[in-house]
Amino acid sequence: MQQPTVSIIGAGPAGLNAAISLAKMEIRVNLFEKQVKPGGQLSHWHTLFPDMYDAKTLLKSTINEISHPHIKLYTTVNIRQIKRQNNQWIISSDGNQEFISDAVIITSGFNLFDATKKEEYGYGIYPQVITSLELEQMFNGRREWPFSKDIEAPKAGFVHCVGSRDTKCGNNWCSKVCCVKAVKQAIEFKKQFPKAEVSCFYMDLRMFGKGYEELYMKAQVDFNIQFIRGRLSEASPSNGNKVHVKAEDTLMNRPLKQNLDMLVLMVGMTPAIWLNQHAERIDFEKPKFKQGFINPVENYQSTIYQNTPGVFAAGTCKGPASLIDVIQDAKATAFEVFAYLKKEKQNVEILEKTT
Amino acid sequence: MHPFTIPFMAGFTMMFIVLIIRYSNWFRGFSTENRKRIAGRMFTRRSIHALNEIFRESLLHLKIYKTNPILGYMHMSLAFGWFLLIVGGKLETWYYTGNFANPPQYAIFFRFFHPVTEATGIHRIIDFYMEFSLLVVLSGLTIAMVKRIRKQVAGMKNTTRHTLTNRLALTFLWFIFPLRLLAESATTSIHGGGSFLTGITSGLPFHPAVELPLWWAYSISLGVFFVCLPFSRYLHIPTEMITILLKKWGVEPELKLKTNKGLQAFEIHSCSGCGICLDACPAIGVGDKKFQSVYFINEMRNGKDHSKTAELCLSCGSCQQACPVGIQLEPLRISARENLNSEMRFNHTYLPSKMILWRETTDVILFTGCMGRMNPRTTQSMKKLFDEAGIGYVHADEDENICCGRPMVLTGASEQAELMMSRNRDIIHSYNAKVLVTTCPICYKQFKNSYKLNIPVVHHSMYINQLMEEGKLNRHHSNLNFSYHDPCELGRAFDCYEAPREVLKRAGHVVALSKEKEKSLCCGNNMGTILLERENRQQITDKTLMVLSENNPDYIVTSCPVCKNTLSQQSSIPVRDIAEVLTDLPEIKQKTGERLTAMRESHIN
Repeated sequence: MQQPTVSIIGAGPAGLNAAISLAKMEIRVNLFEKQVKPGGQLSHWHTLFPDMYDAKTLLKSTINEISHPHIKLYTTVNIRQIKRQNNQWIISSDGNQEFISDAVIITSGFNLFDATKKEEYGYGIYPQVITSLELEQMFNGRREWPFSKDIEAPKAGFVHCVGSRDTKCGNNWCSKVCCVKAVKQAIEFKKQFPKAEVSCFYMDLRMFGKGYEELYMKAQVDFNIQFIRGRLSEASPSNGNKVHVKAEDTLMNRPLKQNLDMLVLMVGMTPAIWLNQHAERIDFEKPKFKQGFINPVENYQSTIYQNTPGVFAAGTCKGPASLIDVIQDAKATAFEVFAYLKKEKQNVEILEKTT
Repeated sequence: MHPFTIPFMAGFTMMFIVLIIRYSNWFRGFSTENRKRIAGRMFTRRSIHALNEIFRESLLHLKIYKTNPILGYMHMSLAFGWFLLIVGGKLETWYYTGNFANPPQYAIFFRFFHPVTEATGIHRIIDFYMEFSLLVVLSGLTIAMVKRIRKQVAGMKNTTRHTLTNRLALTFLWFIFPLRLLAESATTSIHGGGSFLTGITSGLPFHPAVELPLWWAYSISLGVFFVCLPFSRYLHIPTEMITILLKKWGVEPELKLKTNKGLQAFEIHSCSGCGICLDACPAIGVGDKKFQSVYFINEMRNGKDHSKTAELCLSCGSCQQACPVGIQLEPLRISARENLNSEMRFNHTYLPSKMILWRETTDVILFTGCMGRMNPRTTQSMKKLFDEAGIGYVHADEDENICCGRPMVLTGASEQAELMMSRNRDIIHSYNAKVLVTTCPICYKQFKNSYKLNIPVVHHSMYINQLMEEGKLNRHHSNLNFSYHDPCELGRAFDCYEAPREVLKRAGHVVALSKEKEKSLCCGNNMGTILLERENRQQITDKTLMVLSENNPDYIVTSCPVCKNTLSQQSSIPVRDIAEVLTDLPEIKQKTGERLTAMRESHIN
């Protein structure tokens, strides 16, 4: 009998943290990543809310930890299907590679909402309209600002809930993190352009996490950022390389128009994969309309995926979550996997020997 | 006359009285203009055209033939077969007695009174004709019975649920002709005579005592059916013919809908409840409440609450297209909404009026409408195309826009739409232009039908096609496959199917679809209603996308901002407006926005 192996699909924050935890418990891990480098969505962020922690530093320390003898990282491998065979799972990639493991953790994460679907906001049409992700890249200098360098006091707008809480595009969920992220980005923008005028257009502000509410207060008091309750109705071109936005200030009961140098769309989270479940196999497919995030077997057993023994799910593949929550979830899942493997009869002796 | 004819005579007379009362009531609801129209046009060629249509549609049912030949034959054999029997009976008795004005029951029960006519050639022919006609009716009846059990036989997926009176009438209608055959067979078997059909059936062992009861049963079935007729869906038989006449005389719907007044009353009661509109409806099976036209009409007819059925419909016009009777269903629904929403009052007096000091001269006025604001890419593309073709244009609603008014009309607020329309008219007339181009079929319909502008109105797909025909716009034929979605307000409303296809054919290949052109499905988000639940609309969109994705095209193309917006939310195949396709070509795939592609590649995948 051999040492148990766990396959983790997706090397974002959830996959990385689950791998590290399992390795610490002396379990072998195959970590699959379809991109060239591990890190997932985390690698695109500049700083993290609510403490403005440097994303690169966090990512570097995490990646350093996975250079562990028990962890094998496979990059540019896209998993297409997992198949059950004699209490084990066979993982197949697009390139028809096969891997056998005793348990699987799905950590496929999320995709950002495709902002072109909200054509009325003008993304992809007017250069002043950017996504929250593109703004992060502007902060870390990987992308040019959408307005001229001569502008000392740029006017910027942040649109909350783009592709979240929106039945029109089939995304009924709240993406949870965009509220505080917009606050963080607005502050960061004000730090770079102290004379800038910044407005946030929101439906509700959901400052649920530790330190979020404080950050929101800081944005208003210290940075004079305007928060306007009301959704944007449209963005249109305006004279002088600006974008003209119309909205309604629902607290003042007044229609509102602004000419902006930059409009940031806080794009929400959408599922990255759809699990097409058959009797003895699960196909990983591209999600279609209204095919949402992975449902765990029940909310109180959130790490276990449906009634498929040995298949677990961690992180944002189950629904929007903050990075802190994802890391905790990944660690908890790793423990559940450990317990599962211990329970598996064939592995009992081995586990006894190793521990 | 023999007493067994009494049930028939009683039933027939009663029907006649009820019909006269009901019809005269409806006639009383006609406006003076409509009365003048009837009086002035009754003795013109229009009446002959109407008779022709009555023959083709009320008797031969040619439109149903086009939907499904078996269904068409069923309706034709029942209607035309019965008509042949009536005409034949009249001729038979006239010939036999030499008196044309003999009572109807004499013709109907002729065989009972004269089982054996002289076996001369002409009588043999008449006998043969009568029995052949009966056979035609019976063949239709057989199909009708099979259809009740297996509707697929007649190509139908959905059939109507009928009320009790309707089912009673149906039962007795079904009894009439088999009983006639049995009664005639019994008479033939006992007294001789008959032709080829009774020649076979009279071989059955008929006891002399059953003859009279069979004739009684036949007479009772007729009687009960006629009593039920004015209160059941079979009222459509006489009403449909009158409606055709009224329409040919140019009678117009009364301004306010009343279900028992004027043309609307005739239209509502012309519905045979055949249910052909059910299969045509893209929203069939969607939602808890069935709101298809046959149910809507049925509720109005029976004086029930029809608010839901009137309001839920998306007004795609499929049912009106399919209706074999040609009932103007959409105007009926809008009139019903006007009654329901008469309380609703909007105030648009704040809209600015335009003072015209001088008129700017240009080629085209572009009007993109409210939905154009949801689709800025389409507007941008259209402007690029104008520039490319060297056409001067003014974008009338670039900064501020006033709604064309059609959404208001569709909710039943036609009067209130007037103010918006007059403001828009002022704006359009403030330019000296050759043509108004609109990128929205909903606006197009409103401008074209209700505005009375001093310049022609065209939809942008037509305009692009015209520019291409004139050689002002040119595109190389690419290897891309397009599936084209017909917007209802452009396709069914204006039969504009070819212009957009011609444009696309120049730029690539247009794939054929199982449901397209006049049968195309609704995108699920027409301005027709806002009351249908989003979830239900999304179900409609799903069905439509299934058809549009049939041959796995590279792009789904449409020419309506609402369709584009709706389809693109749910489609896994990219959806484009026809103008966008032309500006994006030739490397359409690479050109979906450089930044966007870059973003997709680096982050989304």
